[in-house]
Amino acid sequence: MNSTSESKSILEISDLNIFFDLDYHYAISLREKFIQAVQNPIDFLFSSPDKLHVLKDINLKVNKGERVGIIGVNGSGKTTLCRCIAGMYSPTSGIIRASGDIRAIFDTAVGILPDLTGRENAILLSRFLFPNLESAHREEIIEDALEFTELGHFLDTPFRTYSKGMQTRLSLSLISSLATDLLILDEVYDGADEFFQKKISKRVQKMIDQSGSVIFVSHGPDQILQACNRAVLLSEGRIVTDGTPEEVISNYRELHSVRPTA
Amino acid sequence: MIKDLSTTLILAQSQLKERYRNTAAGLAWVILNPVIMFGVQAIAFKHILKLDIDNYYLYLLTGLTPWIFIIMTLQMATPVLQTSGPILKAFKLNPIILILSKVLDNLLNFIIAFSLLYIPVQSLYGAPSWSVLLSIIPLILMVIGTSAMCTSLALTQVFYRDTNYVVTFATGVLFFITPVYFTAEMILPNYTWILNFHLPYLYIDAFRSCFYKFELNYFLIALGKSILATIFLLLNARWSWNRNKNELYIRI
Repeated sequence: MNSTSESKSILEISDLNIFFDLDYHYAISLREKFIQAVQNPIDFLFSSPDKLHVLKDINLKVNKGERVGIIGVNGSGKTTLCRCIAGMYSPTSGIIRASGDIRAIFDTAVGILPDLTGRENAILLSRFLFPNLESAHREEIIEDALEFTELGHFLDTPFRTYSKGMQTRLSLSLISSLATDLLILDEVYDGADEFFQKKISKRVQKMIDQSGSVIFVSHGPDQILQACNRAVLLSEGRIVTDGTPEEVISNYRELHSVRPTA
Repeated sequence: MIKDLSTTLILAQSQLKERYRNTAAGLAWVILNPVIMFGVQAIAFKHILKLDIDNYYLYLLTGLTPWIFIIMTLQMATPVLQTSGPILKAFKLNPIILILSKVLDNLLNFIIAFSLLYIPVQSLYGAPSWSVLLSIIPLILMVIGTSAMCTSLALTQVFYRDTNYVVTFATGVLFFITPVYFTAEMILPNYTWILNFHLPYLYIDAFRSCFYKFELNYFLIALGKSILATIFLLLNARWSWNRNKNELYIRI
């Protein structure tokens, strides 16, 4: 399939399945739940919710040096799969074996404490993203990221006053500072303006190049073609195609009748 | 574990910085709040209602400040997972860190307020007993138990959005039937068994017994009850966590 398939494996997923509870009559408040229990105590005590099968028998192996693009329409299970790999979800069945550090980013316009300044949020975010760094190295990375944002004096104003684009600039600059063993990026460019997107994509590409392996989720086939050397197509929770980005994107377009753009 | 603890401490420190920057009175208000509560209740119950309880100021202080700590922590930590949805969804972060940072934040306020009030109040009744040193044990249990309660309630809040309202309402009612400003002996004997299931009171009772009329047997029984309460709350928090950890990300 590709030249690195014989190298060291960073991630192995076998027979992964994930089910979520599907509650059609979901009570949003405790008081509503209480009324449901009083009105229909038998149902309340003995009924169990239906299950939604979100990921179905996923088998995936990612080797060092691979940059795997995951593509699929909304609801196909891309983010759920990435969250499983990142350790945010526990699989209902199956095994996920990962070696090395995994860093997963699912949203870039995020501040930890909005009333603190952008600079203070960057320091806090760096603690969450890079908990193992020594303080000197951390300070170096923060300074570099803050300079990259070009936010100037806005860095010392509260994060809550930032526009979404400014929030994205700050988070994305910090997130893209450091490579890791397995990097998971889910729709990372959302929110950034066109000019910053061009600037940051070079930095992200550099981080991707330095990282052991990358899983890159995008709705945009062009971004996958540009950033990845392997791609996986997910449809209704299953892996439909696993191959070169060109092959997988062609299948994706065929499956969902999407015409290629000029 | 150590990594998570260090992140919790840093987050708690940043929360304190955020909160004090936003309030004009800053740190002073956090300390003044329990001081005013204590002052008002001391006057109301001792001098207006004329409750006949020995060393009343010491009795009230050692019950009221831990009560404020437990209740304030529950009210602050219950909505934390729901309001931190964007952060939890953005990258891998142990949600328990967000809850524990709220507990630590309130613990610091409690220790400052209690220390400031305890010294003048104790001086009214002479030198403190050596048993004061034992208070660290029930305090640790209280922090663990409150953290476990917060974990279960914060998870419930994600699924049922009025949980914090129910907690605020329930604790408001609970205050009037909790022996904080009156003694357990004032409750009719037929109803005293209820106190064995009143989780915040079990912690308060063990803590207070180190400061107020210390008796080793009473302390050991109160400590035993708070150990059992802690085990129950930890098991319940673990069960809630295992049951809801996947759906948590969908509902926040």
